[in-house]
Amino acid sequence: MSYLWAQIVNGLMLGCMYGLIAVGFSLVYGVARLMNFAHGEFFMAGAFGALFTAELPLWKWSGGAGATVFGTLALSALAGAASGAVVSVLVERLAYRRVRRVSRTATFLVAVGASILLQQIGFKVFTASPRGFPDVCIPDPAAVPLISWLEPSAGLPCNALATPPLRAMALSPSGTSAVTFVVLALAISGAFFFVLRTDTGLAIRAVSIDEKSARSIGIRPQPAIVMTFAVGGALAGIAGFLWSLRYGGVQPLMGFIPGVKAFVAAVIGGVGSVTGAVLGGLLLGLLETLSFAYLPGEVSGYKDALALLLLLVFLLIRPHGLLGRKLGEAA
Amino acid sequence: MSSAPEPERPHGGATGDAPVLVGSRLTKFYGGVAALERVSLTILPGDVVGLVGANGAGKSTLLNLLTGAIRPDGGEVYVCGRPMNGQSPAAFAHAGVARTFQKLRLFLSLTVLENICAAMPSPGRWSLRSALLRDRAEVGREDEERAKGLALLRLVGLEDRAHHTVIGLTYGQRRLVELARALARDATVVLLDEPAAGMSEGEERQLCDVLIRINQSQHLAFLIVEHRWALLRRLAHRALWLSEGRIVQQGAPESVFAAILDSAGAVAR
Amino acid sequence: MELIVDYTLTHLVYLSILVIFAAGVVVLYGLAGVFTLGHQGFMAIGAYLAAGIAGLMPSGGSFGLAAALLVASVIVGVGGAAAGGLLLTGPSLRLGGDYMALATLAFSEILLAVIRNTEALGGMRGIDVVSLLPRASGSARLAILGTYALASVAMAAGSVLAVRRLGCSRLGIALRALRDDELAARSMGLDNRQARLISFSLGAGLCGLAGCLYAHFSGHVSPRDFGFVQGALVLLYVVLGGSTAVGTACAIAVVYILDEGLKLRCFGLLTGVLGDTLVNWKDAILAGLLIALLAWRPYGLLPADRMRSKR
Repeated sequence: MSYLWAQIVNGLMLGCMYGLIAVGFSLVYGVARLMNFAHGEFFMAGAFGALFTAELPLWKWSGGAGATVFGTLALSALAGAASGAVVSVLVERLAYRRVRRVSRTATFLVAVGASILLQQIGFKVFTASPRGFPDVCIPDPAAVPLISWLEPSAGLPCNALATPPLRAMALSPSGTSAVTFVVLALAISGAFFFVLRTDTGLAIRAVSIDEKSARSIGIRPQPAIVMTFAVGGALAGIAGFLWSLRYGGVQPLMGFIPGVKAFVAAVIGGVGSVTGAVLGGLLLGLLETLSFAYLPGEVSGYKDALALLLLLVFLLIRPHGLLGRKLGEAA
Repeated sequence: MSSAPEPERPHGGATGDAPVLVGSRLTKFYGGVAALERVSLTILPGDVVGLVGANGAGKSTLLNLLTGAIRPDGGEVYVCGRPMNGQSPAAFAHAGVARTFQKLRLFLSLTVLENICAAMPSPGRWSLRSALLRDRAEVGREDEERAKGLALLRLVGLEDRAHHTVIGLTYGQRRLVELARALARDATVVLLDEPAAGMSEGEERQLCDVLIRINQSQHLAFLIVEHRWALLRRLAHRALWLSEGRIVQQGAPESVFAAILDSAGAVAR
Repeated sequence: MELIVDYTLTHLVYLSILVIFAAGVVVLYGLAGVFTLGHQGFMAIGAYLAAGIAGLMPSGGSFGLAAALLVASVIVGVGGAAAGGLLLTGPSLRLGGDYMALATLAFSEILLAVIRNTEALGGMRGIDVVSLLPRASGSARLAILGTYALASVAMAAGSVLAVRRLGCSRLGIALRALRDDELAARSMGLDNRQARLISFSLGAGLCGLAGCLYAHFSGHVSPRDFGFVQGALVLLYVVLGGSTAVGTACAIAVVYILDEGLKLRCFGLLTGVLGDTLVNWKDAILAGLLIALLAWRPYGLLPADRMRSKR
């Protein structure tokens, strides 16, 4: 029984990450009618941003062990969001803006080009070797009340010459889960709040329902699109941070498969709907984790194809997804 | 089926009076609102019927029902006596219905002549083999269609634009190309949705002449949605007044127009 | 010198295969207007079927048997790919635009997942294709290679011309009319089902032919050869070529030569000045260049007027 529960929790967390990526994808599709294939790369950028921030020697500036741990996590989450958002807005400005009105294929191909370009830049700047979330160097772990969340790292020790002496610590599995849960809850509720309760969110929804009418009541679509890209990129970046924390394996190609799955999640949830994207992500995450846990080993090779199979089924039975309106007819 | 209004003869037997197009108690709802309510009409061979009514009266909906572009929520459509419910627009076209669109729908990447040839009922069109081999018979058919297309273009006065793309044409010229495209179908009834909208005076005269000539020489029936009464006065044998999804009055064009003016006057008073 | 000729001929064959593949995509995207992301799947079907047929060759079989198997492999490969295409006609009538793109992508990715997970098909590593042709080696190497190059160039030219001719035919006019405005075309009596059946079988068949040739010439096929990026690249060539067969062939030739040239550090001046940086950043530069091209010339390098003003 506890195994089942553990698997369900794992599935939900994975699903929430897919959902986070999918929300941005879905919003962008809604507002700009653009299949943003580079969205997975925003996720990758967020992961790298978070990783590099976590490697900063935060203990130098923070008061104690607890502050160091919290600070590192919070700062890297923010850095992940920021780098995702920055890359996303840059891609919108440099690549998408000109082609958006031309044709769907051209925009899609530009997206693929942007995706390849970002991966290549990733290879050159970060190299291809996968990295995990770095250990946090903290002074005097004995005094940390969160001790159960941390465990001594098996990795390289920190700078032993520093005063006070440092200890390399890593988050324990339960600690990782807790952090993941909190950040996911914050990010998803933030996304809902932004889309449903702010003026910008309202503008975004208006543009995605009908750009012409939105224009006629004075909503300019371009700022709404930029904001959508920023928020979508930030959410993907946060997902990247969580991914690096929970699964590691941060490398330039990491965005592709989660990107495709988020894409699937967005479609089965109904493109353009935030709730749908989260639901689609959860469905996909649960299905994937549970099938991996309970089906025979030979099936595990089909893990990534499972998402696409689900996609095909949805396309044939319910093309506009769980909660979506009908979109995507030939332009 | 039992309610079919005298389907005398199946396809093709255009005796004097067998109706070419019948709409019987057609009803269409959009989100609970009736756009059309039990509208019936009959078009005989050689008939020219004007359809008038305010914007939103259901004229385009009626045209779309009569050509299979949308399906009715009630009622039936008969083309040359054949019940057509549930059939595709292509089936309507094959049964003998051709149409133009209120908002122009030309094939924008094709030349003017290709636009017209695309609409022709052309035997052997779907054979990949003859398209690739292009044997003598195929070349013959191509030439034949091209000649027929050029003749139609001559009729609407656009022969010199045959090999231009549609993009370069004026709005009115595009309307004329759409008309020629509909005529290329060799249909028994042609439905025209605001054929003169956006036309210059000269173009409108051209349109009128073409329609009259075709109607007289080929005994082709027309259903014309039009706001310009002057045009209908010249062309139409009778008129239907559609208002809020119902046919309010039908008869000679003048009497229908008078009734419309009357009711407008009543509102003003 | 010999090395250069050898290199040129080899790449001429690969270039021709790419052109045939792209001709198939021109039929699907350019003529039928199907936004496809799964054409690499059709190519994979052709390649794996050809590999399977070639595997029937007993060691030391006669030349005649090899020739018969070669012909059989092409027929089966093309037929199999066309059948795969026909499988997608049904959904293509119901799904519009982007959704069809997703369905084709899912089709090819699921196909590749099956290949990756099937030991009999070599799994991730792929399989070696039993050679039905005399392997080019020794003194006759260049002559044999030259024959292959000639044959494949002829096939590529044939496919391009066939697609071009199709586009101008009565059938092509119907296909393009349906692509431009489906409702109007159907109201004129054109049957979109028939159009899709024809374009999917022909387009996928050409992709399958490219796969066959690839399997026989390279001697090894693996799922990596038919990845998403390869497919997207070909679609890119088609768009850059203005969605016509001839334009696409030209676009492919230009990009291919640019790419290989950078790999070989030709263009002495450029590489001389920028040195290794240029070579290292080759892929990134190409991707950036293509984005810029698409942004400034979205209807191809030399768009026909009619395409430019389409929307």
